[in-house]
Amino acid sequence: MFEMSKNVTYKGTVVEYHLENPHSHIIIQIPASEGKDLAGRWDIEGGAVNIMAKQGWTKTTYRPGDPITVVAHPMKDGSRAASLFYAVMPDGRRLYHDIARPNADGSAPPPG
Amino acid sequence: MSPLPVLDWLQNTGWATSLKESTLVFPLVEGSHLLALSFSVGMVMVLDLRLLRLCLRNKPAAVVMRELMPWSLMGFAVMLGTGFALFAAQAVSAWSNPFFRVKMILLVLSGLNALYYQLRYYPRMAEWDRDGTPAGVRAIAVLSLIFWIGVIACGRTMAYEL
Repeated sequence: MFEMSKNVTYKGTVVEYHLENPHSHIIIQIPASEGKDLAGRWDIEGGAVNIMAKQGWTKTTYRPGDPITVVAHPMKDGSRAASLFYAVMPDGRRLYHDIARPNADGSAPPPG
Repeated sequence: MSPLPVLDWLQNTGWATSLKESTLVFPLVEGSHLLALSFSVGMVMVLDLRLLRLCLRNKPAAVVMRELMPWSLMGFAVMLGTGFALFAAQAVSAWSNPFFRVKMILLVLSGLNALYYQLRYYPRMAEWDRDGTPAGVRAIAVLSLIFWIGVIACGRTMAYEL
């Protein structure tokens, strides 16, 4: 249901943050300034708590109102939801959904 | 009357919330649900195949049933308990999931199918097993296989929508 080969960067504000089983969800609001294709409310879907906790996600990684940047794979049907690839933290560190993947250019993911 | 207030209460009970947010208990419950499935449904399918004379042909059906059903029922108890817990962790979204609804309908049909067998054919099992399996028994076995495959397919598919 997701276009897994497509990476889209979503920049917005956290509306809801649910680190939950079976799948986590981050609801983000993207402002109109990002263009009409991206503007609006998106459901970014992550994995189970166990899988995400191993990557360093905690209950307080995000709070409603926080700015957020995620890279995710959009739905094939065009609806406003996407499968989380990684979040970019304020210090530039990547927080992956599950196992740390190589970067788009094939280089190794950052350590940690 | 909408069941949503009750389901909302259920998924916000302390234990359901803890399960939803747990790192270890949820995968253990999920795993147990699937392991219990192999006992519960696996044994039922072997019995269905025996009723269709596709396996264990040299054993009386009554013996096969007596040997397998306790394992099946034990598995079913675990499956029901873990299934209810998994449902409680996401009661509202599970309820609105079409695959969950079809799964519940198939479970009820499967139960009615088994009940009908118990009432109509079970008491004289030894007799018809020796003289030839009635068409009704064969139909019940086929329906049972279809219903349980449907239950499993729906259970697996609903997880993509949660």
